[in-house]
Amino acid sequence: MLLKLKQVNLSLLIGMGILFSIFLLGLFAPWIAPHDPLAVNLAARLHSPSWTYPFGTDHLGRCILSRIIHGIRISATSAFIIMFLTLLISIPIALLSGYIRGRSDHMMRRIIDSTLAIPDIVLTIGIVGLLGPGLINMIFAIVVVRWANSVRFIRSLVVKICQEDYIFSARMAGNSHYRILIRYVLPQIAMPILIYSALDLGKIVLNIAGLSFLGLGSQPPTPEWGAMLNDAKDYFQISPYVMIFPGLAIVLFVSACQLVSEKLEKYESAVGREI
Amino acid sequence: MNTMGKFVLERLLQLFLVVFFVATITFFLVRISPGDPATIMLKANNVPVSDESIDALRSELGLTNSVGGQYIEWIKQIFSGNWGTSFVSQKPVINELIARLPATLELAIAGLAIMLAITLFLGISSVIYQNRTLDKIGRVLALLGSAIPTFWLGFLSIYVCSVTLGWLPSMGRENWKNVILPASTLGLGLGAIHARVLRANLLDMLQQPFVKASKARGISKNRIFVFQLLKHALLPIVTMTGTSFAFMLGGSIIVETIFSWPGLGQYVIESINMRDYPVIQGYVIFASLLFLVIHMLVDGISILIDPRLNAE
Repeated sequence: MLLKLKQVNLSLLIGMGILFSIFLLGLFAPWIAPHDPLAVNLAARLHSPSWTYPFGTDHLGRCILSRIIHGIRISATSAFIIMFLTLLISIPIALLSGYIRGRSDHMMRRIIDSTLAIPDIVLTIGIVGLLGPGLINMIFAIVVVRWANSVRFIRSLVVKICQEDYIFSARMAGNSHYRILIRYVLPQIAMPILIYSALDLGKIVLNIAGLSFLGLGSQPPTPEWGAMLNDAKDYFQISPYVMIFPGLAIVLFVSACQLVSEKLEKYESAVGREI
Repeated sequence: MNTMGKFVLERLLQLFLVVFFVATITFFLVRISPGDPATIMLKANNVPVSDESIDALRSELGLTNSVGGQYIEWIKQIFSGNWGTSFVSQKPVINELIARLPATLELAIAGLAIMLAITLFLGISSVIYQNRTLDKIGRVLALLGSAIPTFWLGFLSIYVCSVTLGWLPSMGRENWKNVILPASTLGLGLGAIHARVLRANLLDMLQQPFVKASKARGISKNRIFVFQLLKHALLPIVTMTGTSFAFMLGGSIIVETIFSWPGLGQYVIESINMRDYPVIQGYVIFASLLFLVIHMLVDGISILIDPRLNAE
């Protein structure tokens, strides 16, 4: 049991380590990146990896490694903003809806079902398409699409917990509804939400990259992973490096999120059983 | 049959509600979006933009009415099948969308076929060879399948299969060879993910009493597998196929862009770049309708396979 927990901890640490290093890289990007991510050097376009350009250069001779490192700032930051906004909207709605139940809960479920009945990529593209491409509109669109899923998940947690006996006893002991939600319900759902969010973060990064790839997210020349792949569209047949490295960056980030989410879940259930 | 009738009625009501919901969203999105539709339309047709021409077009489009009036008019039009005309081609949006539907459906069905082939092969073989090499490969593939972006997979497949090896074409829609790469891009990852679900399902079923009973009666392992387990696994596979179909339709937007596949997805991206609002609005409604109809069919088939579902 203890050995297993150690293994889980190791994988968890690796996953978190990868995520943490990515954030450090993004934070200190200007000092770490070997070149200016926007510096055009037409003499050195589409170079293969070399000592000066470890990941090669793109169609304008910009350093791909520097662009990936600076891209963390856009990709990871917007992913976090989206996750935060989604939780900010969905946690209160889910808490109230799942705790109060009744007619308002029924209405909420209807709205959520209607939102979820539209394929999410179609809705996202519709919103960004109509509002116009751009980073802010993209963030708005992804939040609009994701909140319903999040509410549904959190609400199911709340409903389950509110049937527990200790909620009844807390109520009978004279606690206010507000106090019950904050002191008794919220701490119980914090861990599942964290696990869910870790997985969600990966999906959001994929989502952002996909939209930027279609030219709907961050606009050139901003370095962003999906947008870099959009630039690569016309050149990767000559120089595959323009697409290999940005793609690898996305895969690494998303896999790390999945690893963290999966191991957190295992850790949680292992610890829970020990108690 | 009465319950079936109720099922259909309920679903039709849901269809109506969702179309109403989507039509409302798209209407208000256009209202809050920057840029005046009349100006955009004039620019799209290379008509010189002047105050008179804008005013004339605005009253022709009904943009001078109150927002409430416009909204009611819009909802009426959607339900009567008049989804406006494209700014660019000047043809009815619904005709333009229907013209591009076959290409997208072809791609989605081909993607689905590849997905199912992988799901069945990997899912069944990883149960038969549990915890052996093939099972482990399946696990890694499923992990990669959910971490690799579709468009990157598309690039890699073009680079390997068309550029380096020269086996398959990477652009357009001319003959059957064209569909292989885009369909694989759509189907590979999902196939690997679903194989794990099928595996878990089959393993779970192996523990069921009816398997033990069959074993006790001396029925061979292969017979049990083919005639009993797969029969029971049919339902989850049907559900999976239905939800994946929706995924294929969504994923086709990216895949069609990469492979220049002349379907709905490529069309909507073009329209976004041209600011062709009626087409974007029409696309969202059209795709949602398509998605709902497919879900209805899948649920109907599931009930036919397992009537217990209807009772719940």
